[in-house]
Amino acid sequence: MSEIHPENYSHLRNLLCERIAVHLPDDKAYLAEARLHNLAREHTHGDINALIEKACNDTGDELRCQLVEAMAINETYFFRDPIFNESFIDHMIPNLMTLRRKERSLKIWSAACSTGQEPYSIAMLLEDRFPELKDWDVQIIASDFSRKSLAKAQSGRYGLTEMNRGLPARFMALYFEQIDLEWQLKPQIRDKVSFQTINLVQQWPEDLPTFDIVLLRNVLLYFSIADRNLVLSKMRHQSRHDGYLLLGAAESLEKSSGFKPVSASKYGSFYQPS
Amino acid sequence: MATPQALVIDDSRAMRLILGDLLNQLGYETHEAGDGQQAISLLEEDQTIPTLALVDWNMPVMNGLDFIKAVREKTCYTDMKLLVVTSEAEVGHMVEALTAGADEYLMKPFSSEALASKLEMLGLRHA
Repeated sequence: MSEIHPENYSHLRNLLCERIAVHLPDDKAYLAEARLHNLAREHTHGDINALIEKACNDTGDELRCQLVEAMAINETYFFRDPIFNESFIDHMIPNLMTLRRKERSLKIWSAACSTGQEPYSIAMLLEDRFPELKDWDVQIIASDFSRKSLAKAQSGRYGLTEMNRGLPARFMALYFEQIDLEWQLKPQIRDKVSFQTINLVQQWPEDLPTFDIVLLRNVLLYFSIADRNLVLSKMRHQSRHDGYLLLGAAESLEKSSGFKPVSASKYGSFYQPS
Repeated sequence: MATPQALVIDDSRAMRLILGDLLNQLGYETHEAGDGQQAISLLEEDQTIPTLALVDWNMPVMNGLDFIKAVREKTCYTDMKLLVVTSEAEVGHMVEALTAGADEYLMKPFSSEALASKLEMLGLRHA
């Protein structure tokens, strides 16, 4: 594997910061070497320096987009952490069903959905545990900046490694069908989620509704304080006053964030607009 | 706290070794059986009921499904979690196993992470 020249690493860091507000530390060049390996094989015979140079000098934007997508962290799996049981089943959904009993509407946003396991987990959970929501207008919107991740998410098709991580066998049997070596999510779940390309640090779509629940798990920790505050301030406007914001286990918010903590567990924290 | 016990039932010695190793790393003491019948004999001989049994599907003498059915008929094993670990990936097999009383299903090949995730799903402690 080729070693990244310092000036190319610097170009890459600037690109990531500019496009997705991710600040790659000085000493993580080895991460870039590992993550760009396949893309370099595809475009520049495995030469990572040539790949970065080509992307920087490209008149179009396509290769730069691919570079950013290849560098992004796509770690996700079905029912990531038992926070789903703790927060959704026991607290949020029952509470919101009481609060919204007149309008009978629920809007949920998985704001950095990667390859789709998070929003589909919510869809399966609602279908399985809250059949009374059948007559409600339930919208699950899932977004990510990466077109590649979204294409996979939209397909609803997963391989063995993904199916083995976090997905209860009962849900696998109920909601998936096997196609060759992969598993396809059935339309009854897949159709409940709509996907959109949204880059959290760029302009959000004007027609984005206000949400009852926003999942922003393990995202903010990669941002600078300024970007984090910007996203939170926009998120505050995008949330219903009695809605919820869910963060990952390693994340917490200051009082000045515009959100107050409702509950915390070892799996994550949830907040409401203050 | 006593070390949790796990019974690994698989006709492949290599698979028993791999699973045993992974479970040891997760804090389990493991016992092995090469088929369902041998596993039942082990359970009957032993005073301690394992917290968990990992059950292969295709085995000689008594297969995994018959083992699950036999174990679930006896009330003394109600608390023992049964995790099917198999290369049989069809949904039909999954449904059969769950209906017979298996608690979870892990498809081969799997990663140590996937095994740990299944144990967590079963509410089992691991290191």
